Amino acid sequence: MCYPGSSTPVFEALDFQIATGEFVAILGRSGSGKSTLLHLLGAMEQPTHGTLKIAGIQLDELDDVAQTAFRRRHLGFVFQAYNLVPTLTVAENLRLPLDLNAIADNTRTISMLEALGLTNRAQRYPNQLSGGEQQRVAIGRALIHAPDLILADEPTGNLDAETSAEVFSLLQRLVRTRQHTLIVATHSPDAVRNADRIFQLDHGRLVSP
Amino acid sequence: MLLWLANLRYLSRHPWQAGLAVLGVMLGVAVVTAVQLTQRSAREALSYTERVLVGAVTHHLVAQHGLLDEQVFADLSLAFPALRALPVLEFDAEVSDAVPHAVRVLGLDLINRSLQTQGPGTPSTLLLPLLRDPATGLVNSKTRRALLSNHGSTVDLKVKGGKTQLNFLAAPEGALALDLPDDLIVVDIATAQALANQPGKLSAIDLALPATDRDKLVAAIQARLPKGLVLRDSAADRVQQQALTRAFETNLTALSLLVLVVGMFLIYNTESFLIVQRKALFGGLRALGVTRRELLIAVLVEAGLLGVIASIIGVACGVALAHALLQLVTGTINDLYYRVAVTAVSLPPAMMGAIALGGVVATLLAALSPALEATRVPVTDALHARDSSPNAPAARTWPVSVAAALLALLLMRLSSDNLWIDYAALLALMLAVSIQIPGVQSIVVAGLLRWLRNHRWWPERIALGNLLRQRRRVGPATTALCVAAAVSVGMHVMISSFRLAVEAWLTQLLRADIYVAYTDHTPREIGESALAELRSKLLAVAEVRAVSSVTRLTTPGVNGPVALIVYDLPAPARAGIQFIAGRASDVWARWETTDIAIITEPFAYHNKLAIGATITFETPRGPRDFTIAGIYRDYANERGAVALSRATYGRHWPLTGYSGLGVYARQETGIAKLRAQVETLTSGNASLEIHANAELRRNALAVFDRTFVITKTLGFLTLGVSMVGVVSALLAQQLEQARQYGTLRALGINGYELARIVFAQTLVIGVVATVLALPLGIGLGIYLIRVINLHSFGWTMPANVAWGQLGAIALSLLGAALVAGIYPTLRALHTSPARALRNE
Repeated sequence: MCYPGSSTPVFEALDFQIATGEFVAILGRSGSGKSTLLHLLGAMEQPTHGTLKIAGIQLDELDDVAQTAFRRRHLGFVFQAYNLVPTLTVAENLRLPLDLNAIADNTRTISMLEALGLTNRAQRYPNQLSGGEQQRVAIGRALIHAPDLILADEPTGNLDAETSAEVFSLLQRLVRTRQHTLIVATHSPDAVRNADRIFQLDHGRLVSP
Repeated sequence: MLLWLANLRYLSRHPWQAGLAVLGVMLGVAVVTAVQLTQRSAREALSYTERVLVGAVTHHLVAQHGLLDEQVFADLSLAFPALRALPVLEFDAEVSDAVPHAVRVLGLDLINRSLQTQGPGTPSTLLLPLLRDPATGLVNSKTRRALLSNHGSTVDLKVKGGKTQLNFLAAPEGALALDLPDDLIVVDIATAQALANQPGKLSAIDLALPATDRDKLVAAIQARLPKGLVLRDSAADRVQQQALTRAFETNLTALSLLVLVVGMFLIYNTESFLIVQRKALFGGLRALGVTRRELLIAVLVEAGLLGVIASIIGVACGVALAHALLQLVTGTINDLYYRVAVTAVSLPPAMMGAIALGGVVATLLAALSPALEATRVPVTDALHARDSSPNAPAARTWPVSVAAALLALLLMRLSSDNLWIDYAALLALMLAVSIQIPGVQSIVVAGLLRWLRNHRWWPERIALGNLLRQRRRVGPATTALCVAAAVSVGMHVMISSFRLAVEAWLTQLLRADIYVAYTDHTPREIGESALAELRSKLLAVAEVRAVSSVTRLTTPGVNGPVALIVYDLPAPARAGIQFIAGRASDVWARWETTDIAIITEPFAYHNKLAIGATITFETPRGPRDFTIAGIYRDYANERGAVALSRATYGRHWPLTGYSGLGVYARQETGIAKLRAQVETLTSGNASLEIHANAELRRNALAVFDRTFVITKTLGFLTLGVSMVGVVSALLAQQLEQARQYGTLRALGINGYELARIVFAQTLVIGVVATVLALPLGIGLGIYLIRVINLHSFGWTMPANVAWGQLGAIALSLLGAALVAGIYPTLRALHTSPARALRNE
């Protein structure tokens, strides 16, 4: 695929497989193609060439409706800017993916609040939380419906070093415990030193492994 | 449900924006409700007297010309003993006071058997006190209070110049209420005849014929009727009366709907803004798996809720507004069509429900486009917390414009005189133009930015850059302001053109120096001899050069009654007739000697008649054809009239009296002396009134101005709605830039420079909207004149632009734009940069 206004492909010879439960980090400088790769994996953009398969589903053949259904059921997102719904409380934000997937299980919300250490913040709105707390809610929201794959794009980009470490630690702990597959795009190698594999992207080419 | 909850909470967190969105539709719904209620109330008042006093009147027995003799009633009662009939004498009068108070006197035969058979507590028993004291009139409590405010229990009633003292008895209220309209005095028929100096005369006999065998009974009655009497179907009469005001009502309804359309622009504007603000959020939700459909429904539910709230409040406000508009509308109907007195607005729940539903639908329609836009938010935006909209290329609007313009042309071709199709074409045209307004604004702003590139006006450059970047947010605000202003400008152009045309027409038409006519609306036979005698006397006065006369009649035509004007026009009066078809010299050469008629422009338009066509009238000697020799300009009657010379009329009908005389002085300098002579000649006959030329013109223009008060009011309401909306839209847009202003303050810009940024933006929007609104509004005005007016009334007139008034509208628009900048400036100045940055 190409960036708008350019005929040069974004990626060259990109070929990899990730196993269930694996924690993969994608490292690279700005403009290396990290986010574009996440968009492809997140069923938000379509590759112009090649195939892309997640949880046995071939993404490059899905239309918009099927992509949406795929994201709803199989993916969890952690955004750099948290993207919590500002008019829903912490508990309601966590419940949102359950509602979307028609899962009526209130115990999941309660246990997730406990896992995130936010039980006493359940009825607060996002603007009443610190940045670190907001990102913890975002992590909980990405995990609560037990998706096959969790994608995190610069999840600690807006946080200080100490909070960033706490958030990463929480993310890794929850993912490992629940055996989710996690792909994190970041430019900070320190944040992902515990990753199972690290992909280094440079101008659309996979430099490592 | 969580999505809906999130959206509704968003509204509660942005009460200003939600409130302003509500305000736009609320005002539109209020105006539509008020206009509909007012019209309905006025219509209901038409048949009021019949319903209250007699029950279901099915027919009126009237004289073809003038009054009928009460002997007719006696004969009918003898011939048809079971007939329910009520003799009536009705006329206008005036209560003498410091400020004369116009009233309507309704005389009823209270001994009428059909009324006496009714039980206690019915209207008839309430009227019986009037029998006991002939000098007593029954009025409603409000009228009694108004008329007796400066008196004891009696007032002086002036009828045709004569004065009579009358006691007033207030109609009881409550269960036995005889809910009389304002300014109506019910008296015994004998009292009415004495007051009008018409002993033994009736204006009508109202009949309530049974449904079974009604046709046979009608035929039997008609067979016994003396010559010159007509039995009219009251239902058909009502239909005809309603037809008279149909164009007036349609225009009012359409103008009120136009206010709603402007309201829709505002909700579109606010909804767009509310959605643009949440684009990143919507992108995030899409990334989580929320489908486009779910998002669309959630946004429409949010808009629907606003619509429901706005419509409920709007209907409530509309009821209040209806009370104010009622006086304007009934005033116009009284001036132009027929007398109607109504005090209460009627509130049919189904009608208000329908209007409220219309408000909700209008809201949803207005919100549909922004809602669809919300579903198209790129999911990838959410990952970067970015909003792609400011720099997104503008959607291609020209195909929509072309399609709308083609639709408008098609509708114009389809419409012959259907006002709704005319208005639909107008809306399509406005859509075609208005959709291009954001694009035009972007071009202007980009041009200004290029021009300022080498100047040191950096605050203005920042302002223009912001406008360009946020064109998709600012565009709807400019469009809303522009369309609303154009509607206001268009109405002003139409009204000022119409007024000038009427003024010019009156100047040419009213060529006599002095006019003499009867003071009231009683049939012309009352005192008929007065004008005839006066005319003879005037012709013998040395200062009189000529005397013209007019007799206004209604005569049966092929398609119902026709207004017939019988003129006696001496040479100086003939110049007052402006022919728009037919040669004046040809007309005047044959005017008195052959059976030709001249018709007014509306009559020609409504009946599709041209020069050379014939019109047939029933005469005492059977049907007679009259050839149309000329079509002349006339703004007096929208249904039109046919004019014959008095000589021609005399050849086919028995000659009648006069409705008015025009007196031409031999010398201009002798007008005052002539007037004194006319006053001397008419002294002792208070049923006649004398007007100088200028006075009559002034009175006619006063009626014109009263007629358009309601239209002007709607025009100002439209402008008001748009200004509120634009102030809100600009305000919202400016408040959103608080962070940028915080950054600039942190960089050290002072209050003056900040104000320059804010005001440059609001001013550019105001100027662009105003500059575009003027040609659009003038075009709209021309359309109202050339298409709507023509199809409504059959009138043509040259378009005229009153630049002074347009200047005032332009200044008020710019004022609104500047007002929109005050609050954001003050807020930015009083907010610490750190706080502004943190709030992001």
